[in-house]
Amino acid sequence: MVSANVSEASDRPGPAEGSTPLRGPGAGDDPAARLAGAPAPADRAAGAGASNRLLTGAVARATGKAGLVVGGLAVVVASWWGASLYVVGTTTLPTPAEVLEAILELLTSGALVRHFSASVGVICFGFAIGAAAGLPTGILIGRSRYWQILLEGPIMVLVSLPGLAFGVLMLAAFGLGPTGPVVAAALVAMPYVAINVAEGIRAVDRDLLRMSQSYRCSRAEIVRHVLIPSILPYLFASLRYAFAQGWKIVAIVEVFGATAGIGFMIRATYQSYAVDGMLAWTISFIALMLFVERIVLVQVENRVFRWRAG
Amino acid sequence: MTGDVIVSGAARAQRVWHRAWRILAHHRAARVGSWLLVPAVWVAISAAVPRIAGPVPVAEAFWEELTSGELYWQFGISLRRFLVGMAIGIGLGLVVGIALGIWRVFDLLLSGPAIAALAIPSIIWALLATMWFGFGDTAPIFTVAVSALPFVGVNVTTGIQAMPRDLTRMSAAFGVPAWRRLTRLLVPAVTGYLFAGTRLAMIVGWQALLLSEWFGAVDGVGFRARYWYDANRPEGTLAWIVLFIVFVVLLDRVLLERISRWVFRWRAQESTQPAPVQEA
Repeated sequence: MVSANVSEASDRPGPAEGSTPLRGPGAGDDPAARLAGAPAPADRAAGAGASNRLLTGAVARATGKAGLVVGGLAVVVASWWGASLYVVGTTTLPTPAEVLEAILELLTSGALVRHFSASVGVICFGFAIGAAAGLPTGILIGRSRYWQILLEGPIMVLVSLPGLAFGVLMLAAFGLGPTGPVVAAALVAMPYVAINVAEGIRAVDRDLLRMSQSYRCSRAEIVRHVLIPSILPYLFASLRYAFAQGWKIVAIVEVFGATAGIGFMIRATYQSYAVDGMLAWTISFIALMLFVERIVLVQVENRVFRWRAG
Repeated sequence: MTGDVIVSGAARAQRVWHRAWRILAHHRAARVGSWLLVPAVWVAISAAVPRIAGPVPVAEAFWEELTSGELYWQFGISLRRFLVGMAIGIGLGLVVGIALGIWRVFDLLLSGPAIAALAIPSIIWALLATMWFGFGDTAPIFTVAVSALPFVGVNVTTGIQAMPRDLTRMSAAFGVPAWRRLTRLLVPAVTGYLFAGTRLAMIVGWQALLLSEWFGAVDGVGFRARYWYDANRPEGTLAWIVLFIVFVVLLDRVLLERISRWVFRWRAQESTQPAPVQEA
């Protein structure tokens, strides 16, 4: 899983984490940077030739790999089961069967769908607001050094804001309800979008820009065909990071003061001291979050960048 | 006569305006403005939202904590928990990361749990730990350790897997002794990733500690912030939040940045460390 990520880094724009300078793979003589961009050594055999023996070997290897991944999960579940039955007791750690039962109950009662969609709505709405604020900010930062210096401090503070601060401040400012989580999601997304868009602006191909100017392209044409295509990948990088970070912050804000959503339910199970409910929400949270990040966002990204492959 | 005065007055005004503009448009003004902007936004928000205190009451609350000695006392308790938790998290993360990096079987076996571990938000760990261990030292230390562990582990694994194949093969072919291989090959390859992962883990761990202390502790900085909140004095909570932010900025941008520059001073380039892996 890790090697896939390393190779991924080479074809995606680097998402900016804080104000860490962005480094392209293979840039300069830094050995670490060169390594990070190197293709993953594994998974080499898959594409090599169509020889039948090779193919069966690859299939066997793939099933072996899947078997190991499943086996790993099985080991974790088994040790969980053993620990809950023989070490700490089922009140402290309910068995996987009990937690599964709780998840099924959440599914059939509709609570899972209701609260999950509430949280997803909050994150999407928040990201829309954050992107709307972050886009012009990013353009300003990317184009002018003055604005970059001016907005450096506020963005750093915003990025360093701990989850607890989001929870307390949103509760204090907006009380109970969905406004607090939405504003929090927007505040999480804004700096990511701004930093990445600025990075995208700086990465615009100057030659392409000059060429389109000398061919007398209109401003709208330049924006449509040069600027937007080169910023879009960076915007997507920020979307992925804003989602990954936004989930966690929204969960915290919802624990503090929401009337619906995953965090609200986590708090409810905490207050009724239901460990099985807590674990059920945790597992659903992880599953749904990974579903959105790995499948939905990847699909959207593939669709948006279809023109690249062709 | 009077016309002359008006003209020179206008010229002077224009000159003053020009000079002011020159100063304001300078990068140094932007630098100053950058630091004034945050307090300015804060004042504006506190004026609009009555439940959020402005800088003055917050400074007063801060002074109260400082003079009563609570500041040192609570920070000491929390720092100890933070350091113990981080030590456990980094130690275990290093062991797991090396195992995953060297033996591909472990990597595949644990890839599912590792992805899940990175996805769990620290609020869940904080609440679960409170349910399991009750109020005390264990819950915060546990929360810090489990929040930090996956970030360290994944980055160490990536570092080992990014080791140049040619070098490993060559050192095997030339029969380079294991110790030399460890110090000359593995350690330089991993340090950058370990440091990047640790840096990220520290920020995540600190934030997890705050949540854990807010919900499940009877002392420490997170508890103290809650104490003010429950006493219906949000200015005290805000004073602590400002301290938390200052702490993170100092830890990350000053301390860790310096250490990173010192550790990687042998690298010619300014870019000192690989971008940390944040997701599996």
